[in-house]
Amino acid sequence: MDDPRPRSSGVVARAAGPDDATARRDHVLVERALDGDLGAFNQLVEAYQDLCHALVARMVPDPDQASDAVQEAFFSAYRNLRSYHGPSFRGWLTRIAINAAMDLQRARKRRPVSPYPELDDDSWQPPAGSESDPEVIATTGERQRALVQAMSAIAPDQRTAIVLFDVEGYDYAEIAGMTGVSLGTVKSRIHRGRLALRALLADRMELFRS
Amino acid sequence: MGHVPDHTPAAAAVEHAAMIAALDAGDLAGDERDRAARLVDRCAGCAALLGDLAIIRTATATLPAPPRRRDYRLSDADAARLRPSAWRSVIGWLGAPRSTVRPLAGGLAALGIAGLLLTATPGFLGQATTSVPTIAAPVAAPVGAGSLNGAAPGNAGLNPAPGTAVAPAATASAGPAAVSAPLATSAPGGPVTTPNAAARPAPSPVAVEPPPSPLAVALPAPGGPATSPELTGPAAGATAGTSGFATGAGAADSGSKVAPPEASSAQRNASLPPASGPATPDRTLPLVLSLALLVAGVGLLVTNRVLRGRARR
Repeated sequence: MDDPRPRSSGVVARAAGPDDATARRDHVLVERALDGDLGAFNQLVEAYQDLCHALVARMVPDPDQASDAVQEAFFSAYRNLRSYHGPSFRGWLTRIAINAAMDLQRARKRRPVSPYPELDDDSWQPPAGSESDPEVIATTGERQRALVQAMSAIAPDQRTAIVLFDVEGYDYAEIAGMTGVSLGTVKSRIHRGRLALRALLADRMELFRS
Repeated sequence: MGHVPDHTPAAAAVEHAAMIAALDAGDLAGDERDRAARLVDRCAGCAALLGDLAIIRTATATLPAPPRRRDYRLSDADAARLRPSAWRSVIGWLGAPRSTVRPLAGGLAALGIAGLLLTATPGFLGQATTSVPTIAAPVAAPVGAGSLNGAAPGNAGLNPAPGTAVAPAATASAGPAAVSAPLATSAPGGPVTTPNAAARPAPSPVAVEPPPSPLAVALPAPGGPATSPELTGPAAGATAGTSGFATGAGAADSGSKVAPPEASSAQRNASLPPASGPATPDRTLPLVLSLALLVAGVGLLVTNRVLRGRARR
């Protein structure tokens, strides 16, 4: 079925706002993907799959489900590529990934999950920063494992709001628009989520204070 | 029963914790912020909570992402499966939460209900004018066997043979003129017999043959081999009513028989056909259209709901 929109001029014309190289590259790739070039779409996947996975993996504690959600997000993006109206492909794709993660969390039955066993494995360490002190690295790893476990234990709505606000940097209004709730509800979820995290981490707060 | 404020220590602690969390997030202003700040100053636990929340907020923001386990690039098979098709577009439109499906479905259902109500309303499509079918009937109803066609000789009352006198209402089913002018028919040469025959002068034995009515000729006489041309159509009745002379073709029973008015009335009622079908406006089409609109609207609504529910799962 042909899209009645003037595709060749539409997307690129709307992309005139963001003039950075990444955005222009994205729109060129979208144009080619719309013309049936699967390789162009896969270039977009390569560019953003780490970002989408990092976002969804923080929202969905179960690793397999998080991978499924990310895959479904890219499927959905390919299926609905014609509905992309710019200006930022990254923002458009991020919203699709967030929706996929939230849909999956709504549908998921409450069952215990093992949140990223690689974080429980001492062989896995977070990306090394400037610190090279083994003690600091060990403390940082333990702290992050504790936080990941606590994050997986709070309510999905609270976790989503915290990830979008604290990690992704969206403001209250954007999160309200994404999640379909009021701004007050977003604030309440973030506050309650942080209080829940503090209750879960009460015994291990020394890790974080050090 | 109204809301009873909870002044228990636990409730106060929950309220204070919420206030501290809001203060940490920077969501308080004015008096609320001053009140929360005073609380932190007075309460050591509140101050510790505020410090812990700040630490957790910082740690959350720097939370590392688990490593990616999968390559999410699409294969050719994926692309072929996901490529938009007309059918998938229709399904997507039907299941979209903010598409035009629901307004359209609501409109269709409303039109269907309105159509059904209008169709069922008396007087719609001119029903009021057809409540007396024998008057407005433009075409005579098919007269069944044993009615006024005279197919059964010897039954002078209900089924007068050709040439037999017929009660005044015999022409009632024929048309307007027949109703307003109760007249009798008889065979040529037979005596004209009417309810007020006695008050009349001696009838002329001459029967005037009316001009043949195409309707009268066209209509068969069911149940009898002999088709009597009289009283089978409005033309016949009208002619009889205006001419005042009897018409007839047979002479099987030339004897005069006067049908008593009471008996003839009862017989007329018994022999009248039911409300004539051809005279009633056809309601089938609007009824079917209304039902189709209603079913289409409800179907669209149900489909939209089912597809949205499936998408949520």
